[in-house]
Amino acid sequence: MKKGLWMLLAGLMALGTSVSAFASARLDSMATDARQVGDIDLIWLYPNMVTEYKNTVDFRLYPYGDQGDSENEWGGALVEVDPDFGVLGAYVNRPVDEDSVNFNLTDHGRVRPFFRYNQGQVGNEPGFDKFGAGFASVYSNQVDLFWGKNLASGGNFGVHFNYGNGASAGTNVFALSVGAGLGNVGPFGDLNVHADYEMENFEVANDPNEKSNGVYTAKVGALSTSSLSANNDLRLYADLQFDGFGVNNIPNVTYSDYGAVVGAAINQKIDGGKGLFSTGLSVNYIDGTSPHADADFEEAEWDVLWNTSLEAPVADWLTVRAGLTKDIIARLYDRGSGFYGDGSWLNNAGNNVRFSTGFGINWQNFTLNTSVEAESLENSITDVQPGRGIFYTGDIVTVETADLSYKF
Amino acid sequence: MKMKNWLMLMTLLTPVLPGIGKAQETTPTPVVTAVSLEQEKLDVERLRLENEKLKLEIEKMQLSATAVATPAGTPTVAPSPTPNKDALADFKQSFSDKAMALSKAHAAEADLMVLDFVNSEIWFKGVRYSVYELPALAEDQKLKVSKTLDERLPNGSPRWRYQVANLTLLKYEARDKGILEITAPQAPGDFRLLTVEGLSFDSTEGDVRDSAQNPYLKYDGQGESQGFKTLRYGHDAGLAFGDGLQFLVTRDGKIHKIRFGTLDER
Repeated sequence: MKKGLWMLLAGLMALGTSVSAFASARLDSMATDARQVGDIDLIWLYPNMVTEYKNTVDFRLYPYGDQGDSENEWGGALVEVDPDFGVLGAYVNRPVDEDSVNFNLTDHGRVRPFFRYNQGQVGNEPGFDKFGAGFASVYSNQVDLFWGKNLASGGNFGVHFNYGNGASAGTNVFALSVGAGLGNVGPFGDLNVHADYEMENFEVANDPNEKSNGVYTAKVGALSTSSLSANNDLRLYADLQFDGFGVNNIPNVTYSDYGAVVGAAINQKIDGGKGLFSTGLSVNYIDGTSPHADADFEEAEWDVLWNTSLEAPVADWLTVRAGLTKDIIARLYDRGSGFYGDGSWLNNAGNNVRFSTGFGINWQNFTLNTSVEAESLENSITDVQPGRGIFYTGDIVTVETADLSYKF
Repeated sequence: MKMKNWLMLMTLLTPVLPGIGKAQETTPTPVVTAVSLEQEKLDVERLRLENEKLKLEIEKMQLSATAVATPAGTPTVAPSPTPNKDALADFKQSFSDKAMALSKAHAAEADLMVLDFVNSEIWFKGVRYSVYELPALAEDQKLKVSKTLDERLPNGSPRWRYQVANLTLLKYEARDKGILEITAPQAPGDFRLLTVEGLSFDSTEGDVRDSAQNPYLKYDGQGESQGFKTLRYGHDAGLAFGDGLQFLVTRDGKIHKIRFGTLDER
């Protein structure tokens, strides 16, 4: 164990830090989605799951590439006050635009895909400032509050409230989500459902005559986990999302979209549940419309993502993770201005594969999860220099994101 | 007596009277005194050997964990130094042998579990299981077992709560160990308990204090938990979770619940 500890310390000293945050470091390192493998990130869709992830302190480090400034880190805690009362939770400083690992798999058009299942601006507005309107809704999430309770029937129920505000006067965000665990329902095992509504108010350049008008995001979804055998389970999920964005007295600045994500994953336990192998498929569709005078568009996008993930313990204190995601099909259809073509479906695949890796360190009730920049790992493998980062300068690998959690 | 005679007498006596005059420092010890001192040395040596023998007896008693019962509240014997690995392995093996003998002797009692905290084992009808294999025990022995989700690690790994009558096992799927809780039997079908140390739910707090400590599980203090007095014992495992043992005792000195396993795990 002492040898392992020294190796660990040496490794940590040698790690470099550059950052681009997506979801939880664990999910990032596996190139997967919380709905496919299960993760504490599920509380952002299913607030009832705070009853399962209770008694956890959850710190998210390294967001937005500005590690070390101690300003943009976020996190919170879920505490079971009493079994009869339930679980209370609070998070602060949750970023508005923290993307999932799959966000940049396609060169998407002017609509913003729903891959960011837990983070995203209200109204999914496409950034009207880019089209000459000269403004954008800018706000920060201040606090997220949770309450969840196990029910006598065996299910559970939860509520999530969010408040955010912006620098300009009158900018604020309110969100309310509800989730429920229903247990086994028909062919679906351990079925969970959720419904969310978020709304934003803002004024344009402090002009009370030009202010938000119907800026909202509404979501509904379901997730089920069915056991196929002692070591295998099937996870099925579907989410629908509707967005609206409008401004009083600026009739051209409106936007709306609707879309869906449908996915499935098969998971296999490794070594009785110490590790996990997962493979999944998801289909994503979004249709967005904007009659903006300068850049009206009506676009539809759809794609099919395949991914495989591995989570394997190599020692009591160390877990190694890796994953690969491939955008098998990516298509974009421009029905409006022809900005992206002549009205036919286009191949929209960009840099459509991503390999991710990372590791987790467990020390009793503490867990430090990281995702490692794949390029830095490949460079280290290609250019082997024993002792680099330990006996002389240089990084062994570069850590992209890191989370620190504690069970109490 | 005249002065001259007195001086003569003193001159004659000086060599044989210890502590009188300078002559004692330089004169060899007379034969009679040397025999006496030799006898004293032998006595001291005998006492030393007896003391060593007593110490060995105490260590032997600790190793066999068969301490003689003493009244409740008697100060606990100070723990002996941590034995080396071989000695600890021998002790664990001897403990396991006793557990086996105990379980075989009670194999016919279908409502009795024999617990070996030193080796983390539970015996039922003469068959050995790890305490963390309670579901397997229940399946093999055709006992009714329930499995419910207790909570999850941040990575989604579930912690299951297995219930077999008055025995509960809390165990994360991703980990080897967990926490076993045994509550005093209250309903038909509940199991009685017997430990290698001879403890049962009929034992008193004093019995626990006298016998629960051994070279593997050290006394870790007293506290309060769930409204009960708690006697704690533990085995340190460095950076990993160590084994812990807790006896929850009622105000009248009866054992209400026993908790064993990775008690520091949340």
